[in-house]
Amino acid sequence: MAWVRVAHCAIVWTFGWRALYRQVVRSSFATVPFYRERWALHGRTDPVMVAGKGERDGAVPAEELAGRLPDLVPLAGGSATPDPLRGLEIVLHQCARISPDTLIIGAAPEYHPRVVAFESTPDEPRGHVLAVGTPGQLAGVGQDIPRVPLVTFAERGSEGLLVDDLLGVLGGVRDCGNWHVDWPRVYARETPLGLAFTLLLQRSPRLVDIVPAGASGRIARCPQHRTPVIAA
Amino acid sequence: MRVEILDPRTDPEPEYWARLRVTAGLRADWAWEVLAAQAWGARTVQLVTVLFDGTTPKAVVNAAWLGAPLHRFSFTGATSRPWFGAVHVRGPGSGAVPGWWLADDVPITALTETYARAMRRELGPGCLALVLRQVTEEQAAQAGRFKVVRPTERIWTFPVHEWSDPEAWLMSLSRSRRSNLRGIFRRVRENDGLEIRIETATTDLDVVRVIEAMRWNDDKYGGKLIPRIRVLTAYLQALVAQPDVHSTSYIDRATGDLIAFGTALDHPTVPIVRSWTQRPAAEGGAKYLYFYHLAKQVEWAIANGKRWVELGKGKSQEKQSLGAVPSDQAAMAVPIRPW
Repeated sequence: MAWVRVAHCAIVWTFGWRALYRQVVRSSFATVPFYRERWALHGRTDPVMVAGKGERDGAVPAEELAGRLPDLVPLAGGSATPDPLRGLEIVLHQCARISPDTLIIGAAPEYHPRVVAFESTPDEPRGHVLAVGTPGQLAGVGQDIPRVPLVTFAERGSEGLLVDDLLGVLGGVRDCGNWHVDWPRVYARETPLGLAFTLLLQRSPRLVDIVPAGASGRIARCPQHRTPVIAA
Repeated sequence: MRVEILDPRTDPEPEYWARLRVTAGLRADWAWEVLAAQAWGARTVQLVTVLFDGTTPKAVVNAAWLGAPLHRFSFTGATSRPWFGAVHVRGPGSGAVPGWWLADDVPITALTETYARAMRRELGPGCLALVLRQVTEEQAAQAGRFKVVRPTERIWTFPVHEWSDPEAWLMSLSRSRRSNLRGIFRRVRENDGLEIRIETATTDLDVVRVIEAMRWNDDKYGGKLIPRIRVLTAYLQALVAQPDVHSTSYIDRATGDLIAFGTALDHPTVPIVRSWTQRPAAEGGAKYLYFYHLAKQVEWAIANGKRWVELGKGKSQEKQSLGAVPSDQAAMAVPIRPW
């Protein structure tokens, strides 16, 4: 399905990141009960899209979604279970050197041929090895093995991939040293609550303008790659 | 007659609503917060209309405004002004109960004339017809000359007043069903792994688990063309928190999983067994729990001196074998005079 991804990137480039986000907002307001109720309850019947309007700029703290996941399913139906590793297969390749021969320890893309769990790591792994997991999981792995930590906003340092239980993998540090947003699939904007993320391609459960715990910072453009990054 | 049209989404609860619910015997699904949650989850505009004689409420109607363009998978646009369509009168959140109440001295023509004209005034000249669900034959005969009446699925009711105690009920059933039920009671009694939790006015129900189970049910019965209206967490929370709603959860003690769930809406004489949902058999569901649940509802109704227990549509064979009686229902469409 590589051509789908290429076509999608081309569409985002051509019609704009923000336009795609606005389309997701429009469609969510028309078909997803949670946003319908929320955006219309606060004295308005049109979705919040204009900066500065509506309560908290339309952002939803992630903890408010607890127990309301079924309402994030559009009327046409779909899954109510979020995937905590959504987008890993794309972001991991951008942020680490991986070939089909790489032995990945821990979390790996579904189709990767060589994967072992943390518990069954061989004592002397041969060839190119990469450990992927939360900082806690990586603590038990040998020091000389290259690693990609999966960090939340609170644990963010200078390397790794940014993950959230609800939103999945949001981005990661690339060779330029900046925290890149996975922009073809994730939209990010600044709100009074912090950075709000929208999944542009996930239809169900629909996640629009969700603020993960501790998501601070601002959106800037990477001088090297010319794509959005999370600064500070 | 004076007419008041309310949109439960935005209008506050009228001060007479609690009194009206008692007079009219409207069950918990007519509580204002439940109506509001239901209206927010509905694809179309839901309107509650109260007809007054002086200051006394004489009739109340819940209806959906089905105006074109209608979408299968999206809500009616917030600013859309449908230019033609029909008013669909149905029970809030359930198609198995009539969506109106009339005082004893008000004939059904109050709906087909006064109410219909009020809706036309409110919704515009494109409001062409009134569709009433769960109409009985006598009611259909009273309506005017122009009408279309079509029979719909029958609804089932337990004639609880005929049984003095649960044993009398069991004796009225066929021999095979009776021994089957006794076997089910024994099976549930001896099954230590099954926890049955009956709650009234609960606020700590694990709504997500229940809704997950309800969606299996939806997928089983839902059609391709017209989707089932999904129950939303806000609606379920509002409904089970009402003081006259009993919710029964069947839980697997070992894993903590929900096996089945049912609600019953209380009423002084005719409570209604509203929703029933259970896991598919492949995932630990047990078909006998449906019979067990209904049997417990009958026992509860007998103990509390109810006269009938309404069961709604479908599962005719099972309901008949448990002693329920059917009643014929019809849907009636009446054109609305455009002047």
